[in-house]
Amino acid sequence: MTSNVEMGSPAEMLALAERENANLARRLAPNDRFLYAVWGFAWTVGFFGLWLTAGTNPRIDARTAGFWIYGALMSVAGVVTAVHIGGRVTGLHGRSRTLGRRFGAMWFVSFSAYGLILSGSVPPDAMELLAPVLASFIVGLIYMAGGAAWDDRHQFALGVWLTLVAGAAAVVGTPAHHLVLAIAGGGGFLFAALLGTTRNPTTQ
Amino acid sequence: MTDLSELDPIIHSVARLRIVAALAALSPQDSLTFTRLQSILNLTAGNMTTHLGKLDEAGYVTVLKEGAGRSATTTIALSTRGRYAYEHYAATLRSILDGPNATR
Repeated sequence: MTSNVEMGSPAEMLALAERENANLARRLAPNDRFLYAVWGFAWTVGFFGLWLTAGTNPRIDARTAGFWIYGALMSVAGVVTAVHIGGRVTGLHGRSRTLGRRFGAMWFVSFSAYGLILSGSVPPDAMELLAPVLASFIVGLIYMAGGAAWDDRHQFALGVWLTLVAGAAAVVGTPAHHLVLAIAGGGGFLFAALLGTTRNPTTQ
Repeated sequence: MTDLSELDPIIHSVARLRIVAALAALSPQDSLTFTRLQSILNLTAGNMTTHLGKLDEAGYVTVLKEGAGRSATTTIALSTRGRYAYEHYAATLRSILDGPNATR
């Protein structure tokens, strides 16, 4: 720890200032690459499991297990995301917090309505296709909105990609749509995790 | 010729420079709670209070208290003046370092 009394040389003072500036920015910014990796894993494994167990002649006859694994992975990813972001932005007040809360509300409102839509009288065949495709479509739209709000081109590009993947999955139809979501959707997240830079909303 | 005497004495102190440099990373419309800033900077509460007091007197930071009693929250933000002073301080250091009489 640096002493409060001793003043360093100009070079040391400048280095100290730059270090503290970068440190605060880093401590408050959610690590998007980490979150994309978490969701990439959940999508890839979860949808692959649904694909393996789908249809009247499934590759593995364990439909219930497929659903449980998918549900557990998505739930864990959601909790990890909420805890991670909540921890990073602790103590942050002002405009960034307002933006963040609205963004959080978007997820909550969208997926609440999603639940209501699917609780209606949707035929089982349509449900099989609609449930994952609609979820991916919503995720894509929200990422586009997030990318626009935070001027984050990686997040925006991921949103565009996931929205298009949802469309493509619907065109492909059951049960291969799960495979499209696993490979192109989950793969999109993993690609973003590899390529993305750590977002820094506080300095934008 | 730029020399050390031109450096803003309010910022030219290790603890206050650390506070101001950290706060400068916030967006101009954001603030941070005293507690979080203290935990990120790893300063004691007493130390923070002393230095924030000096920065507040100079008009470099804005200290806001929300709520009362146990639920009271103190948030700190860099003022426009503080942000300018910090940028000027950093620019002065750079010009000292780049100058002909550099004392690295």
